[in-house]
Amino acid sequence: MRLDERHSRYCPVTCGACGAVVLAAKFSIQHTSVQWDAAAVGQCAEFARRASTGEQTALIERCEAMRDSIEVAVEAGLLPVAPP
Amino acid sequence: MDQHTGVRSIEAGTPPARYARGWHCLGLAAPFRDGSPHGVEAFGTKLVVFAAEDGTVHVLDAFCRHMGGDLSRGTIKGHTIACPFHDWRWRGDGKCAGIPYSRRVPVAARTRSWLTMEINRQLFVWNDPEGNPPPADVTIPRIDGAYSSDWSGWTWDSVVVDANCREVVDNVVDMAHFFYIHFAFPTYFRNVFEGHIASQYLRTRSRPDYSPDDSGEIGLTSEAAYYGPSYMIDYLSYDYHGVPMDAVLINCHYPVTPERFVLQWGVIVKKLPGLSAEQADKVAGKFAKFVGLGFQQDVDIWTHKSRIDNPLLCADDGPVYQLRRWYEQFYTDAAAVPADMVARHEFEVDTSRAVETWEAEVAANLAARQGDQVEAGPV
Repeated sequence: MRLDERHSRYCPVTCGACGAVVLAAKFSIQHTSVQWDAAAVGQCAEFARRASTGEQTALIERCEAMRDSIEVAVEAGLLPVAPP
Repeated sequence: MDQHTGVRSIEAGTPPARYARGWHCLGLAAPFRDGSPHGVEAFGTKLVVFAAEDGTVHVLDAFCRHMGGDLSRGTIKGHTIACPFHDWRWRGDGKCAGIPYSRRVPVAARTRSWLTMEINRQLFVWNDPEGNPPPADVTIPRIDGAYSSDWSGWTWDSVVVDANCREVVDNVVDMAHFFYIHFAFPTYFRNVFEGHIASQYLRTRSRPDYSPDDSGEIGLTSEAAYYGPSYMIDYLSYDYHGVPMDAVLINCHYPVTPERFVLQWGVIVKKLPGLSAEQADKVAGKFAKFVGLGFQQDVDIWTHKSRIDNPLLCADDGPVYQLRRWYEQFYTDAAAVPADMVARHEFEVDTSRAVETWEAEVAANLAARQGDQVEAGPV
């Protein structure tokens, strides 16, 4: 298994809305990389709401609450923004 | 990296010997119903596709288990395909239904039957080296436009590519090649991988310095997803001379050998008000031609490039490694696929530097062209 050499600094981010925990990395303000696990996807309130209306989570572009939480983590200095 | 020279080495690796588990589109279904058997070289062998008298399309191994005759050169007889060599009759389920010159069919007279599916007016075969049927959630979704009179019919094109099919899948994450290979100007680029689905969300502007068919398209939004290893549905909306257009592009392939695949693409467009079916088909054809130009350029890259297992990425490249990790699931025994191989991964590329650079490049190209025109103009 080969790993992306750019991802040395994943940081955990907890969603302010539902408590789901993901690993996030930011190479710049615009870039974001988010690694979920099955537990986090299962816990996400937005995914659950949309899945209940028949959507597949794989086809959901993003959870807005998690995006906000990642931004908050950046502002709080908990998630560094740095190129690899 | 070489410790002494600091030179980065390419690890080319070798393509997998097995073929991906998943549904593979063989093309539009209708042409297979022309009353003749069709040979398809795929998955390291040859298949025969034939429509039985009730219209059901079947796929079998092409080589007759008797003496190896090529069933795709045989004849459809009722619900069977008859071998051209000794007229052995094979049913769609792989059983030999009869040998006209013999009283009995040997017990072992059974060939490989491939699971098929028809959806979106296309024919699919299921490949699984382990021989299992697809799980219920691993399927090809329906495209409503393919069944609507408000949409054009499908265009369909294909090209044989002498490369491993991972090359085409890599495109899912390749933001920058859209500018250099496909005459597009990406401004937004995001990927999501989860389960057997890999998505790409893309927004592009057209390049005023390069419009190969003068289509004048601007502001394209694309939501594309691979459903399994080889079938991508791309929902596109764009402006066509100020008119909003909706199109669906299929980008799919099936492997022939580990070093060869058949790339196929098809387009339907939503009819504009007042357009006849013929006119809508023409619009689809024009769009398919534009897509084809892009694929030709891809093919030229693929057939000359090195396979590379250790791509060297910059900060503004997409998630090549994560995509390949996702893709690896289809080459791994189903029970051995680890959870993190199919876990959700999201990656949004920073396009800001690219946009800045490309705006300057486009402006320079336009200025150079204007200079040429001034020079060539009347004195």
